[in-house]
Parts: sequence; C-alpha cells; structure tokens
Amino acid sequence: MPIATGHEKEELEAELEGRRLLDIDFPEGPFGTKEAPAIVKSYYDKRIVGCPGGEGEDEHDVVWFWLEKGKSFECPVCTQYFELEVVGPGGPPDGHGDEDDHH
Amino acid sequence: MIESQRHSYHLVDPSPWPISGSLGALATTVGGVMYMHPFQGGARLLSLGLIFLLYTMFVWWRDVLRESTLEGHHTKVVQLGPRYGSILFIVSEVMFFFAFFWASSHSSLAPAVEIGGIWPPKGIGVLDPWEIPFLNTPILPSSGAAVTWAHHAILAGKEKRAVYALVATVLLALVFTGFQGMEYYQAPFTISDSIYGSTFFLATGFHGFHVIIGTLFLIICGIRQYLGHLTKEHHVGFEAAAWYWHFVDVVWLFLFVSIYWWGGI
Repeated sequence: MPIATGHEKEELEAELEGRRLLDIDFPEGPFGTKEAPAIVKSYYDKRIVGCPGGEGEDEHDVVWFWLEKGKSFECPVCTQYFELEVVGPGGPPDGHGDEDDHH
Repeated sequence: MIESQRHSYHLVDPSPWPISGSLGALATTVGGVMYMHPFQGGARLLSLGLIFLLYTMFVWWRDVLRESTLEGHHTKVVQLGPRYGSILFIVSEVMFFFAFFWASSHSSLAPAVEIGGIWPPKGIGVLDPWEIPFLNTPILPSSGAAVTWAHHAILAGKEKRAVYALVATVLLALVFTGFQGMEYYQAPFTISDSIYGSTFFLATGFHGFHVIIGTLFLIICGIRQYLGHLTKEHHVGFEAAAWYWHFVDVVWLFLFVSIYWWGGI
C-alpha cells in the first residue's frame, strides 16, 4: 500500500482489492426482463435510476424513477425491468427519517 | 464498506486567496504604471502589491499541499484538473514566446532602412553564438535529462536517488543562469540599442525569467521529494515541473538557433 490518506487512500485500497470505488455509479448490463431484471446496486433502500431504453434504435429519452428495495420497476416506455440490490447499510438515503417510515 | 464520501471529487472550502491574489495583482499593475510615470507613491504601491502577490502564492500553494498530501483530497479524477491546467498554461506560454520570435523575425527578415537595411543592425556588435550560448546549449538539455532521471527514480520508488537527480537538475539550471548572467553583464549592447537589443533582451530575458521560475519549481519538488511527499502513484507537482522544464529547454533551442545563431551572422 503506497503512502496516502483520506479519500485518496480509500480509492487506492479499493484498487488493490481489485474493485472500483464508484462501481455502483454506472450500472450497465443486458436489457432487464421480468425473468432476469436489470440489477441496480444501492447503498440505501432506494435510489434514483434512469432508464435509457435498449441499444441503438431502441434507445429512448431517459425516464427517471425511484427504485425501491423489494419492489421491481417496469419502464413505462420500453418495459425494461429493474430491481434494487442493497450493498450498503440500507435505510433511507437522506440520512434522517423518511416520510415512508411513518406508516 | 462505505467510504468517507460517495463521489471522487474535491469540494473545496471557501478561501480568501483568490480575492487577495486579485487585489495584489491590481496593486502591482497600478503601482507599476505609477512607478514608471511621474506619480508619487508608485514604488510603495508596487512593493505592496508584489508582497501581497508573493504572500498569496505562498499560502495558496501551502493550502493545496495540505489538501492533497495531508488530507488526501486529490483522487485520480481530481489530479486530472491540475494536469490539464498545467498543460494549458504551458500552451499559453508557447504562444507568449511565439510572439517574441515573431517580433524578432519580423524585424530581421526584411531589415528596415532605419537600421541600415541589414541584420544585425548597422553599428551593433553581437554576441558570438559559438562561445557562451553554445556552451549553454548542452547544459540546459542535460538538466532536462537529469529531470527525466528523477522521474524514473520516482517511478521506481528510489526516493533518495530522485533527490540526487533533482539536485543535479537544479545545479545545471543554476550554471545555465550564471552563464546567462555573465553574458548579460558583458554584452556590448543594451535593450535600448535598436530593435536588435529590444528583441534580443525581451526574448532571452523572458526565457531567463522562466528558467528561474522553473528552477524554483524544481527546488520545491526536490524539497517535497526529500520530505516524502511524492510517491510513485502520485506526483502531479513533479510532472508539472518537468513539463515546464522541458518547455523552457525547447524555447532555448529555438532562441539559440534563430536569435543567437541565425540572427547573429
């Protein structure tokens, strides 16, 4: 491990372990279907996701939506299926009580 | 594992240095104009502005070193900023020197009747390019080679060797500047002796000034290398100094060929 500190050190450590720190930032993969949904990783129980449609001709304007843990989402334009995989501590993403917690 | 921040960027803290640097630059230019014209207090304002500027440079760069070396804010993507910045700065410096070469070529390729229709102008005794300038020509590129030696030492993790290589780089730089100083001291013409003196001292003078800046930059790199600031993964400051040094090197080659040699025969 080279000499480093702070976030630079975290980045270098992750690199040595063979992972990219912001791997979850750029989800990509085959078109998600009902049987094999597109998996989007998240540190928390929900995350804003944008669906750009399929490749080439099948591309569409990005549709933004909240993807929540345990609930799959179907894009209203291209019917792509999404599911959330929580890889972090879970809970609400804004760090304090979410309105969903009250009901 | 959750990291200390969920992005790779450096969100800087508010800093007083941009405005203090601006005020320093304003005082320096206004003071400089006043000093060169019949105004009172010009020297005082000029000195104040320069002190302000030097102070700002010191504390601003001190803060950048704290943020990068001591706080680890300079991730890979953050390092791209100073890299592109250094390259663009050097590109602008190339254009700066291009203008001096243009001026010199403009006046020498078709010498005006006022200077006798010849170049060097009638009555101007020029410096012999095959004496000190020719001696300086291998010295500056050798310094450039030494800085490459330092770079390889850093990349190989040989920290002590990198310090030695930087010392060699700086010593060669000082020898070059010393020779230039001697040459200036005994030059048979001044900056006010025709367009020849003006273009000669403007171009070589600004080059010498850049050599001094580059030498200071390399000295800082040597001190930081000695203190262990530069690692083989992260040494943007050193790379910027090395690029700058190579640039100064190349400008010298053009100065030698076009101003000392071609312009002196």
